[in-house]
Amino acid sequence: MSLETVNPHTGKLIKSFDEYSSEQVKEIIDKSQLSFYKWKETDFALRKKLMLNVANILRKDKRKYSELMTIEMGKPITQAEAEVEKCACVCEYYADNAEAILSKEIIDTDASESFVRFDPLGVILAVMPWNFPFWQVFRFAAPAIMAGNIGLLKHASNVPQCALAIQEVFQKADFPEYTFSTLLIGSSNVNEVISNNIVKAVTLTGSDYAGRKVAEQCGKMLKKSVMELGGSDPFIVLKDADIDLAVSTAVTARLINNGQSCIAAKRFIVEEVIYDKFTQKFVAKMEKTKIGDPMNKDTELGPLARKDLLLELDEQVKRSVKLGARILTGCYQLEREGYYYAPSIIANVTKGMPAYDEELFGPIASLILAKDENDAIRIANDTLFGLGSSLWTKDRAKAKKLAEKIEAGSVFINGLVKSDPRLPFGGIKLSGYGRELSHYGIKEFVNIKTVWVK
Amino acid sequence: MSNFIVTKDTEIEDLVRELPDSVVYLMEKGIRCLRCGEPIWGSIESAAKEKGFNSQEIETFIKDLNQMLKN
Repeated sequence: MSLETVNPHTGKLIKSFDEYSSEQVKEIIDKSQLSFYKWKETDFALRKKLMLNVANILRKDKRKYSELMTIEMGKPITQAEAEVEKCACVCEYYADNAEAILSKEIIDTDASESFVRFDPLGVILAVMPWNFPFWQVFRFAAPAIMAGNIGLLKHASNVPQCALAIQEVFQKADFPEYTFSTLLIGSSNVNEVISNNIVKAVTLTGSDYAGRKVAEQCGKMLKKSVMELGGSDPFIVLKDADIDLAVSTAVTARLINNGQSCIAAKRFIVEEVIYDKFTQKFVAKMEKTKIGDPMNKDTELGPLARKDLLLELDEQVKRSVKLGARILTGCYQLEREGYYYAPSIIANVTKGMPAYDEELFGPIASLILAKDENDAIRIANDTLFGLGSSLWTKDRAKAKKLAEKIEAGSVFINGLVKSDPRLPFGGIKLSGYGRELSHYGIKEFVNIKTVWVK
Repeated sequence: MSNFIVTKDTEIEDLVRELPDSVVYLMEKGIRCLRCGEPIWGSIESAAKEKGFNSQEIETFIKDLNQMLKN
């Protein structure tokens, strides 16, 4: 099997790569282990210097890396540039904070001295998706490597050039060889990598389906894993919300990354009293979206990343409509080259429809009417997922109380759900376990070691 | 592309890349090939067996998918 770059704007094959053989993969893993023995002995000053080099390289070559993402998976170029900037920020955050976060923690006991130290685990495998092809890798790599670990990347098969570019960034930043390596392999070879005794832990960002497969293998091998999986995030608009602000954010929340984000708002749950007003404004704003070549600076919505995604999305919508959902705008493939789908809203969405039960990975908002505040929370929690959520109301005290009732890894009040290096990120239920980012994230891949001195 | 033949051991990842329309065909049979934007892991046979299809039914899928490739 080969790994291919297909430009979703044109549907044309750009480049293909042969998968690495088992021997090549084994050699990289062996060399990664040798690299670990040296890397774990380095001090934080050196790690910081090199990680800041990474941030500088990312910024210096921002245009190059942004174009690569846009060519491989179609995100609008301005969003790709913002993604590279965010990667530089996460490198700086951990360059500046890793030493303090991982400094030894003294605890008073019956010992003359007792403390906790945080030692690296070794070689960590990251299985990453294509939708944020740089960010999702760097949010793993920056903390893991600052903690003294070694990174191995199995990236999604449609972004091989991004995968190789990230490896190149670490090389250019003067990291020792095999501190971070890309494995060009398909999903069928992941179990073999997990089974290698050198690999000590695995992090996966992707679907609950892939998560189960990887977690199962990690379970068999008794290896630590972190899972950041899918979401069907609720966007809850209560009757006392600032409707204009909510509408404007709703459009961004649904269309960001061409609608292909695990933390995109997908179910728009609106209280009955303001439902018509919100809907009217939401449809009007959605219809003003600028669709086009993702390389253009003013494009707001580009193509879906692959043809199969386009066809599945279209089918999910058709089935939902057949079961009673009502099209308010869009809901069709655009008649043009590439994998374009119109910005869309469907209403009357109820349980049993794909639009309610499944994750719609594209620019489609599902509108759901809630009788009142309690009903809104009930609907928000009526999902197998629990990643992000947002709540819109002018009553901050009420919002903070309701935040307790929402089953999700994060609740954003009057704001867009987003990740931030300073805050933990992750989900519950089928959205996974473990946390990335912040001081919680860097401690996922360390040995929390107790030292007790008589 | 031209040399691609669907067998029961074909990985879903390869199938949807070579024959994107297969996602609609298999969805009609109750098999969702994509989750969270990613092809599910494993072969056509394992995906079909998870949904309770027997060997004969899987053979029919393979035949249909190869026919779709020719069209």
